[in-house]
Amino acid sequence: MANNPSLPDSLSIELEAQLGRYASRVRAAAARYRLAGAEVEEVIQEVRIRLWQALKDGGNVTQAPASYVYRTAVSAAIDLIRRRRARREVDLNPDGPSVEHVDRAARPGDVAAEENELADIVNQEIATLPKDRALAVRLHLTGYPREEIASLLGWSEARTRHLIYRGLEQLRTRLTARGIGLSR
Amino acid sequence: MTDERLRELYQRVMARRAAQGGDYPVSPEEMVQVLEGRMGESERQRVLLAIMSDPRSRQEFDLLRAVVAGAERQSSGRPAQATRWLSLAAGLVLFVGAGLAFRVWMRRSTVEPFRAGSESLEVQLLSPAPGMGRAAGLRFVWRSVPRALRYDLNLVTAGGRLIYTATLTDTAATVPDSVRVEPNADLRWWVEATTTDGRQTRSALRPLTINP
Repeated sequence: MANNPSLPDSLSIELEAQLGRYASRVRAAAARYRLAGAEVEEVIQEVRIRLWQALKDGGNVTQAPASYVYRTAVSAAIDLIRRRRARREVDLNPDGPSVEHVDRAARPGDVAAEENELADIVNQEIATLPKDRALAVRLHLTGYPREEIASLLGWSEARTRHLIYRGLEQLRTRLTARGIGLSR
Repeated sequence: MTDERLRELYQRVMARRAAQGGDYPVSPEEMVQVLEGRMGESERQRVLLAIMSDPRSRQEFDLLRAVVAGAERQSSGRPAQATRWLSLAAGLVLFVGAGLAFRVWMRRSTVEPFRAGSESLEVQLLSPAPGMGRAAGLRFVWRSVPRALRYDLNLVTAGGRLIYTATLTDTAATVPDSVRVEPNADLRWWVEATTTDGRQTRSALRPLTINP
């Protein structure tokens, strides 16, 4: 297995192949999840840099390259998220427009205000559902496929389908009870 | 009301919430634990509910979803699947009464990097124990990992804001006085070890609340 720490700009052949395959799978998943390509590329680039560094430092990363690439990518993504959170905190400008201000500016009229009110009611009613139904409904309304909801929660396909169905049914019943019916 | 209409309204409320900011309800490490199936059902539901209620966290979760999804085909199973497989195997072995042979076989089967092979090297945290700690001279201790090259200590708020991080070769670290830790702060800490063969292993996330 090629491993030349003296050439930090060149990954070992095995690592390069692993990284290439891994990157393809991540890009495909990102496209399915409609993620911005830039942040995925940022993670992959960071993985490449860390692998160079590890080779340069003499770490024998080629023993379990698939595992190493994966763990490095998870670590790089976590660091990216943490950096962004820190940046957002710094960016919070007390002189900037308040949430109230932004909200008001976004309303063209009563229709938008009414829609916001309705959306808040939907959210409140979801929050009052039993925990598992609320979770299934939130994931469903966010756009997660049923198979993935089942996989994330360790539920069977049938249980997932049942919880989404029952949750939506209960939500509609509660909305109807509040006077929000089929017409809206 | 149709699914599409509900979805439209739900996304409307989420978009408004995204603009409000505030603390993050879930750390990225917890998100990875959910995605890798390393969390109990009740905790997993709690964390996912928090992620789905916070659009900023959901965007982060989707990035991590893609990163974890990239590993799925190169590994024959994620930890959650591995756990189920191991349970089945353990039951079978009990049934045939071949415990010893099974243990030997199990040890061989842990070569796969995302399964028990990495768990066996997990960093064990020693102190502070889960619960309360004092801000002054806050000291973290963990058990050494065989062939560890370095350890990365991370201390974050429950919302994921980094309070303190250090890279060490020792198995203990004291948070310097210059690091401000708020009384009653709800914190999490963990240690990640990098071994000489390039493997990385993490401890479990441990909660810590600072005494006033």
